[in-house]
Amino acid sequence: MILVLIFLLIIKKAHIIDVLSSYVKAKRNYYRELIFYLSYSMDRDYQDLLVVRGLYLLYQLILSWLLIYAALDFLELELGVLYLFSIIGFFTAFIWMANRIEENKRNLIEDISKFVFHYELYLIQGENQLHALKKASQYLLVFSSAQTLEEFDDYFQELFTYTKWLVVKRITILIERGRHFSQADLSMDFAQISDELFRKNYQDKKLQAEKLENMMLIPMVGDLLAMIFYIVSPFISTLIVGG
Amino acid sequence: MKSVKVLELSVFFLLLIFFLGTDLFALLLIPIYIYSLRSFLKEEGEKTKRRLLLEELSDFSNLLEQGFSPLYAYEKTGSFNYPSFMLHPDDELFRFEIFEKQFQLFEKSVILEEEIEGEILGIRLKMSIMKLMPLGLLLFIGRLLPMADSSNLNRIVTVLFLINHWIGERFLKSL
Repeated sequence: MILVLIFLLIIKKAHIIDVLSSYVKAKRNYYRELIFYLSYSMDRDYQDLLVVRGLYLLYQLILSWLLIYAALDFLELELGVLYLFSIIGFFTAFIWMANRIEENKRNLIEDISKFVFHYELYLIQGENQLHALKKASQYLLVFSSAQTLEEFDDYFQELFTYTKWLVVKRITILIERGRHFSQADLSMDFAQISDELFRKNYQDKKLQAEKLENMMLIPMVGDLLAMIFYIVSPFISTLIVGG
Repeated sequence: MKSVKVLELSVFFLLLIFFLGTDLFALLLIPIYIYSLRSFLKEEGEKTKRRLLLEELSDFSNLLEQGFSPLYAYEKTGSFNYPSFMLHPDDELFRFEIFEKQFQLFEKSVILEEEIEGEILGIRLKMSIMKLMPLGLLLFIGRLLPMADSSNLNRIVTVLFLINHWIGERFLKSL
């Protein structure tokens, strides 16, 4: 049965990945935020590429698992180790994904801060709005540089749909106001946005510190286990050696 | 904060050396201790440099606000080590508004660092206590359990403590 499944998976590899990736693309709306934070890009083609790569990796993992299972079953060896490694692997992958999403959220806050800072800087230096935006957008890695103000507006609107951050909405309003007002009139807007980004950064760091407090239990428990090991091992060795 | 950390490191390694006793393995702890202390002091040195730089930039900014020219203000503050990420006062494009923006951003990043340091100070203190307590208990228990007097066992436990210490330090550095 397992061998039949393995055989089918190998023969129909391209078809399976094609069907799965079409399904994921069709249900994009459910996963768009997840895909955005994992890929750290608003480019649809790059996101699709990442989805296909992810599905291919999943396919390879499942195939490897089935092959190992079939081999262990054939050799009549214990399957418990395989299940244990599978569970460890699943949780490792889950933790990796969560860490990557958190890291990309932090990167996004920093990139937006750099963007706003440089946008204001170039306006102060006398650049016109479009040039200032184009130069500042090199610090924002989530999207490729736009050519017109409308494109910038569209990009930030799309970024807002992914992040749901009010500060991104404020940036779209700032860009809109920048068409009609000078940099001096916008200084309050810039100050407010910078403050908000600073607070967001601070909250993010604070959350990290709280997570760290929980993570510190790991080395603490490790120390206690080392202590228990030290206390118990002479008794165990006595039992094994037999006095 | 600095002295607490130095004390914690010193007591931790001292307790490990007492725990190992006359075992030559204890000599390996000395270079590890020196390396840990050195890397911690280097990190603290960088933070102190940033605070000093902030003070110098603040003095520079005050002089600019009073109306002095950028070059004169820079010389008056002692021609300090000007950061490369800011426009130098010598530069043709140097303008007070740009400098103010860059200075404010730098100030905010230093303030953020200090606030986060304050937040994790509590965590560090808890971690220090939890690290030293089992070690202290081990020294006490080792005297009561004669069967536990085995150099291999002591070495294994020492390595476990060192691994946990390293894991804890990596977590703290990741912030």
